[in-house]
Amino acid sequence: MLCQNCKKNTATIFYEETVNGKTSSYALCHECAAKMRAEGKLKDTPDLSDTIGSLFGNPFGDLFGNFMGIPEASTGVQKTVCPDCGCDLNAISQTGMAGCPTCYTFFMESLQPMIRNIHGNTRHTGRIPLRFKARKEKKDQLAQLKKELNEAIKHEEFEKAAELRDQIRSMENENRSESA
Amino acid sequence: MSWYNNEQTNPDGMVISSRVRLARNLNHYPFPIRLDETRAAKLIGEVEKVLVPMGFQKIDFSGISDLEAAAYVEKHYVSPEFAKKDGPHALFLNEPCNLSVMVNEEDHLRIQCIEPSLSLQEAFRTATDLEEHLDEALDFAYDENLGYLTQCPTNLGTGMRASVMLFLPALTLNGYMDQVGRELSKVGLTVRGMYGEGSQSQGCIYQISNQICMGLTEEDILKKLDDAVAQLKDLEKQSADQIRPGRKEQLKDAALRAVGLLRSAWLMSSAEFFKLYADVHFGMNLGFIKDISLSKLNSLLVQAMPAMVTLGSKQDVRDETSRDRERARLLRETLAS
Repeated sequence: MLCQNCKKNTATIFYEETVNGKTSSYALCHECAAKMRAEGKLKDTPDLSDTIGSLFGNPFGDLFGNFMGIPEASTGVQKTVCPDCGCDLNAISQTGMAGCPTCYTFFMESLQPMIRNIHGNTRHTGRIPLRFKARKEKKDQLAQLKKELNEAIKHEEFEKAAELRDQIRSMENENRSESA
Repeated sequence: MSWYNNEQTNPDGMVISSRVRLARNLNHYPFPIRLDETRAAKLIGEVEKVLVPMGFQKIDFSGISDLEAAAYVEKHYVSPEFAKKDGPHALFLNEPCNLSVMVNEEDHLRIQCIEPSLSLQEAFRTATDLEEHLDEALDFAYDENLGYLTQCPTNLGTGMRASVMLFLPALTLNGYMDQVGRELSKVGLTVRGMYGEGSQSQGCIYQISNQICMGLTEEDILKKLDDAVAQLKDLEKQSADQIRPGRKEQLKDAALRAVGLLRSAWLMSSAEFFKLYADVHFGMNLGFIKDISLSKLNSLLVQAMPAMVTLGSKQDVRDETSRDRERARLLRETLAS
């Protein structure tokens, strides 16, 4: 669903307002909601994902219990949902399960502290799917070349450094044109 | 030949089996918790297209009885949760029955290899070979930072659980298992019962597995588990050496009595079987019993379980007494001197 305001971004904030018994619904993207909040046009709660981020402190104990205690605004209800599966953080917290793969990228900021608490870090280092292999190899090669470039500069081997710089530039250009 | 019916099983008397399980999910499908029946069935079809031509048998769990499903749990091919699940879910099993794929368990795919004895590396290679075949045909959900994306955040990263089923009678008898559990948790490993998460230990049998899936490579995880098994085997031996001579004589008596009961009893409950199994196996490890094949004894850990006994019997054994009678018959025949 597109944002009702900018009609460009995906709507992630769903807001209901009741004035004199008449209920109006809004579907907004993050940016428009923030802008409207600043202008005083949207009188909802502060960004819920910010509040949740601070509560994801304990992965197994209070994490989900505390989450449920977040007060809702008396004038409106705000809901941030995954654009792919419609799951919100409330549902993730109740079940302890994500709704779909996209939930992780969409709620990344809020989920990251919990993931760190479970695993001690948030960086995968093991196997990768076939389609990511070539990309990773290039990334590793680029990192190695940059390391060698720094070493060459440190040892004042400027001819070698120039060669490495050209190699890095050409690889970066290649990557840019591939991703364009 | 299946892991539990293999003459090579358990040459050292402690490690019963090794298992590696990889959790994988597909892009463009919600996780099983939010998957509707139509899409769950479609997903099974996608996996079927890859696995059936490779010789895997498809077992549609929506179409089998509770008893048949329970027998697959007893063989350790599926989890207890998978057996009880509603909606479309299927198991794909290869011919030697060492490789299986559960579809629509907690994750879309749970690829599992189970081998007898301590063979984590072999189980890992076999599981990853199959995973690569699936990877060529399916679009696995993956994030460059978080690794393989799984329904439960505890499986993120490698999505791998490696586990070893161990028989640790001396550590159990001497009351060290709580301490062992605490020490293992410090290095990211966990101790569970015979059927994994939520199950109780029976017959001094435990499953040790990795708790953390992210930040370590699969090889790191396997090494950690291999090292822990080596230490546990040492500790078990030390613990057995600490047993006083008088106590050893009692254990010898218990082991020989247990052999007598297993070879002669007319009715045998599964709880009694587990107790006697532990007495006999410990007696064998301590050198008191030499005329029983350990691989045969271990095969009973599957074959003497309730659903397996019921399915294996030619008679109607749905009531407990009939089942206990049938179990006792199986034990007498398997362990006949």
